[in-house]
Amino acid sequence: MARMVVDPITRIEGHLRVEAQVDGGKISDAWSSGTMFRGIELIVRGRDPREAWLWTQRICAVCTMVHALASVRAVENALDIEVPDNARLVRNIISATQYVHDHIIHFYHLHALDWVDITGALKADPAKTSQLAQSISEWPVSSTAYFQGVQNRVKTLVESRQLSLFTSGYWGHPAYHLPPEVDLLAVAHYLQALEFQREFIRIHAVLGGKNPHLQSYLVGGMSTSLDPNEPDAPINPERIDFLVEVASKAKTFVDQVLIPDVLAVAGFYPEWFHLGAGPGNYLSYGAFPQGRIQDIGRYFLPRGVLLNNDLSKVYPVDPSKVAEYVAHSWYTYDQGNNVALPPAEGETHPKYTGPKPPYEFLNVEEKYSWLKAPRYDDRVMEVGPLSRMLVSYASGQPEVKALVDGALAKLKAPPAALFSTLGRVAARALETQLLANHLVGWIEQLRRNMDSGDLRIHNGEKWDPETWPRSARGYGLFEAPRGSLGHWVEIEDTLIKNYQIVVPTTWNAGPRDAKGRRGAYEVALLQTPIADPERPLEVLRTIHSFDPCLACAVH
Amino acid sequence: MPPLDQDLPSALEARGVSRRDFLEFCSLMLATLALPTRYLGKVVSALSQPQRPVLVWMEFQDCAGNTESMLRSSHPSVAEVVLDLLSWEYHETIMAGAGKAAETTLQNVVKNHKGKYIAVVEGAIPTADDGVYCTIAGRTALDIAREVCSNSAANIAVGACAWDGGLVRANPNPTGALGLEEAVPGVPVVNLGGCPHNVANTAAVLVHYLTFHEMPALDPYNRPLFAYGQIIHDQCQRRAHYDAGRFVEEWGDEGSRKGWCLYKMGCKGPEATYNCPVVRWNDGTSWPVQSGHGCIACAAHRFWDWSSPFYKKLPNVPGFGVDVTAEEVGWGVVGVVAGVTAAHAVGTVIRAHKEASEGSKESGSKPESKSASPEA
Amino acid sequence: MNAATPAATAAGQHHDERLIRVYVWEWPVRIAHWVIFFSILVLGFTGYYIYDPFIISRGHPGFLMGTMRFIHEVTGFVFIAAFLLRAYWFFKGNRWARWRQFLLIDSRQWRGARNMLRYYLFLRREPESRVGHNPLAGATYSTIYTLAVIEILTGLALLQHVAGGKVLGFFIGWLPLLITIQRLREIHFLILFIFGAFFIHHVYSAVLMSIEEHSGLMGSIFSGYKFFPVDFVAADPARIPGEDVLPVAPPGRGQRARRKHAAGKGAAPAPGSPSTPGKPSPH
Ligand code: HEM
Ligand code: HEM
Ligand code: NFV
Ligand code: SF4
Ligand code: SF4
Ligand code: F3S
Ligand SMILES: [Mg+2]
Repeated sequence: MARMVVDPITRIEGHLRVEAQVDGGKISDAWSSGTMFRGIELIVRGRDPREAWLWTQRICAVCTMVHALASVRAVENALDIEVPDNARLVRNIISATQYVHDHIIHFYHLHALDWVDITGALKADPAKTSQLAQSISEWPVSSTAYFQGVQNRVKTLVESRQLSLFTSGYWGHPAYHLPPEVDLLAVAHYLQALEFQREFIRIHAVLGGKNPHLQSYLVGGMSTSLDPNEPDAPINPERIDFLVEVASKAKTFVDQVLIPDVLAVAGFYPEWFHLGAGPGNYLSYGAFPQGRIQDIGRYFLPRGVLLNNDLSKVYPVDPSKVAEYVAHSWYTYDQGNNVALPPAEGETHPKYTGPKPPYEFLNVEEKYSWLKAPRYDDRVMEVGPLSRMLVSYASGQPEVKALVDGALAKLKAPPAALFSTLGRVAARALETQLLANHLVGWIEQLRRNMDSGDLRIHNGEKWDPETWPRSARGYGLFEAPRGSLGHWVEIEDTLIKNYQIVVPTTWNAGPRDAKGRRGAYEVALLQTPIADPERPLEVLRTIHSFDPCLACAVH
Repeated sequence: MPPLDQDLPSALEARGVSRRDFLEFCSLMLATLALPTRYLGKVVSALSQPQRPVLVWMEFQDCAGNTESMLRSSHPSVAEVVLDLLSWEYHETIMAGAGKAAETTLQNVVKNHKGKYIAVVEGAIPTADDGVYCTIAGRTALDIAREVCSNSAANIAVGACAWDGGLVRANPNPTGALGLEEAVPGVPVVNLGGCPHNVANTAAVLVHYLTFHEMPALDPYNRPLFAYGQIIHDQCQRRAHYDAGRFVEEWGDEGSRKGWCLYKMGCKGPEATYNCPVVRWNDGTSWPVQSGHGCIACAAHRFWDWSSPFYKKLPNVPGFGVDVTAEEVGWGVVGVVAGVTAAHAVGTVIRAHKEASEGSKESGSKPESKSASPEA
Repeated sequence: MNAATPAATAAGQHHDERLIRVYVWEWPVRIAHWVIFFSILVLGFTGYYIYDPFIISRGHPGFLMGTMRFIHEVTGFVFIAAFLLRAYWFFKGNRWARWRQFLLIDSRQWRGARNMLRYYLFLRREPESRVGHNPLAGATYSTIYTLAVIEILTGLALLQHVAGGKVLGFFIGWLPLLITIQRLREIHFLILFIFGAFFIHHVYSAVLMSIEEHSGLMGSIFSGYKFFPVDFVAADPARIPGEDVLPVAPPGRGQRARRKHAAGKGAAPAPGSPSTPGKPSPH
């Protein structure tokens, strides 16, 4: 019986620490702690709500722009502002791009090394790798010479005895069991994905000026004016052509590289379809409105809640049922330790009571994290691509149904296999494919609007604070790549009075609540086998499958 | 440049970088750094050393924006920077190992490469309450920064947070956050402001350092002049509209579709020095003003507090409510003085009339009128 | 002579009641004054335009902002030149132009300022007249000159920021390191309004005083001359050590002024202008 500590958890965004009790080679209990706090909810107070998005966007740059969107939506909701259809489209295109980009980086650069042994690639036969690649995909970059080149590059790196990013890896760990050819294939695609993502993100540069931290949002719409006849318009036919070209390439990359790779890797780790199950309750706020934001029924990814791994019933979402505990979090509430506050009435009073650094262990009996513990209808929820795909599947979203059923057939697994570590990975990949499929269509829709003479991109009726009521409250919900995101704003005398943010990773990585119930990570880690507590590869697998973002979670 | 080809070690080829690509890349670096072409040889040989300099990238109170920006590097490509030019041994967001393995790696760098490695810092460093607002492996960010940055050969603070505390330090600065320079005084720091930094510049700084073993020329904020020497406004493609007086008056209006100047929408291009309009972002694709939104001066010192509110031309006037603009304060002053003056004029006239009527009744001086010798 | 002339108020104490013409504002003071005045008009207009381009050239070719900025910057230097001239004259000018006139550094000046303030508050009938400025006016002008210095420094810092330049950078580069450009811009902007407010008060009080004093105050800022009884001038406290000789006006000019005065005395007061009945007249 030993306490193991993994801190820092790397290949995530932010500062996450996991402590776990290991009994007989398995985790018997776990504690997830966020160890960095900035206080952005406090920093935006007293500022102009129209610029809150610029501030809150800086909560995180890995999921850059998702907070910008939730923020402008919150203010638009408070002030009852409806955005023009073009703004909706631009926002959807940006968001879909963000999903695809984020998910690809997650799989290759944040997660793959949990399954892929770089040094294994040295033993691979490039010719066989080429054969393998061609057998699973049409992707043209698959010659023997190409894989030989990649292998040489890895060899030089290893022989230089300067392994760079890979210095600290768990090479040769017994939990790795991909054939060397798959290792080499994955390493090659790790490098290709690096190049791909930086090309692909140019969509954000066009529609947001830059990435990270796009700069084209506005309360009431977007700044990206469109005009079919103006060469200097942020969006014009030439820019649309460019977007379509980049988005089409992305679809090819997802279809021909990401999806085959995920299936190939997953195929070698079937046990991980049985490990890492979360709390069994899934939340999705729904995303990508296809009409007005109030028309929740027309969201591309539906809104809903699933309980107890039951796919037969989708419950509606009532945002007022969201509440946060701080019983085990380094905050105090005016009404004491054990209440849960809805974000509309939320408080942020940081109060550190943990051990004095440097410390070896946290005092997990007391408060032990900078994350609050959000609950929906007083239940622990899991959020993220898996939740979205399950809610969509259970709601009968036809495309999701087709994709999920197709993948399950290929993996020869029942839907219940999705409630697992690899289930999250698979769901994320399928979601990537789903959005990559739609990206070009949405861009073309923007072109059609533009060509038909609808150039409205911003609703300025309430831009002037003089037009606002003396006080107003609102919330903005969105599905960020990592899950359900909500911003709650209270405006008084044209300024922000209170601002509360409940973030995907707060849902997943939060600590226990006042009733002692574990957060999603803490549940998912239970029963995880640990071969070597000094080299916690298995912990990383499950934690990474959630794609943690701690800067988001604490903010 | 045939002679250079002979200088190129074959190791380069083995790394999968073609000779031509590499030379192209080196020339590009020269251009970014505004160095004459005669330095090409030096750049080439410095960049193709078999033993690569070690770099550690520390993340504290950050949003990983600078890391993400780094991942978008195209000249050199991110793989080139991270794998070929340097040995990038510690960087939480992308490194392979976690926990103990990560800690040990960092300790090894500090020990084995003491005085030789490059430390990059991203994010602010909290100093309030003994630094409990950011700990890694049970140690505070401040503790780690002190150790890592005082044993390095060079420190690079990337992004506003690492430079001056950035967003985290904005009022009321709940965590006592500071930039590296202030949190760990005395260590040499090169600041690459911006929120985030533009990797095109950072890559150029790294290349400069690798080539000359020193940092490029710096401004008084220790920012490289080549990137921070000129205001956005002077390099902006909408500048002609500014000079001509053609402004976007409302979001989405005709001017915004024609690419007119965003000054009236609060553009802070006239405040910030940075090279966004020239190098642009994401492989030269665009930059904020090009997407129709004003610049927020994200590369200016303490810009969160000092360049905001972002949709107003000037900051709030201290001592007045935040919803009162500088202009309102100004007109208020004029109004008050005009009002008081008018009232005084009225008073004077009334007094004159009174005196006129009194004067006709009595003559003789009031005690008040005894006064005013110059000596008084 | 007129009762409003302060020296006359304690009739009989003065031996020499003859009115003389005093050369108070030497040419550098006058030149500086009017150049400053006109440049502030131009700087204020163009500066406000820079802040808020209220005239826009919707699509028409033109160079409005560029022109405004150019005029502003050039006029800025004219303003600086006038200020420097005036600053030099703080040390080289006559007793009424010297720097001491602008500071409330001794109790007599404090008392004078207090008297003047009470006059403005209708708590006292007589203004505090001096050959040069009254102490309260002096203090106001030094505030204005201080604001001018701030305006110049912030203006130069803004100029260095937009136009660069090593020389300018050398002289003013330190300022933006202490106070950020946005804040400097705001200070630069707000002082425009303080000048505006000062202008209102200043012209009002100039008119008011010249009516009260009958010393030719309004004309003095054009001609340089004011008119006072000899004694009054002799007792002027703004003496510069070693300077004892009074600049006495040439008789002709003085006579004319006196005649004018005498003539004016009998005339009915202009509507609204304060007359001073009941004061003992020296004549
Ligand atoms: C923005 C506009 C103006 C400014 C900043 C200004 C400033 C000044 C200053 C600083 C002085 C003191 C002179 C010295 O000893 O240096 C002064 C004196 C004077 N100014 Fe102006 N002035 C302005 C406009 C005017 C105008 C329009 C008039 C006439 C209508 C005027 C009439 C006078 C007179 C009569 C004096 C002498 C006052 C005295 O003895 O106290 N000024 N002004
Ligand atoms: C009475 C004196 C002055 C007044 C009332 C005045 C007023 C103004 C105002 C209102 C602005 C616009 C501020 C903004 O919102 O951006 C401005 C800008 C400026 N002023 Fe002045 N100013 C004065 C003197 C000067 C002087 C002496 C200089 C030095 C040369 C100067 C140089 C500038 C510069 C360079 C700018 C910025 C122009 C730009 O943004 O391109 N000003 N001034
Ligand atoms: N958790 C989280 Fe985010 C996302 N996706 C935000 O809302 O990553 Ni930075
Ligand atoms: S400077 Fe900006 S981008 Fe960089 S860490 Fe800070 S908030 Fe993020
Ligand atoms: S858009 Fe901004 S940076 Fe460009 S010219 Fe206008 S004010 Fe200057
Ligand atoms: S906001 Fe920043 S990115 Fe450039 S255009 Fe302005 S400095
Ligand atoms: Mg929160």
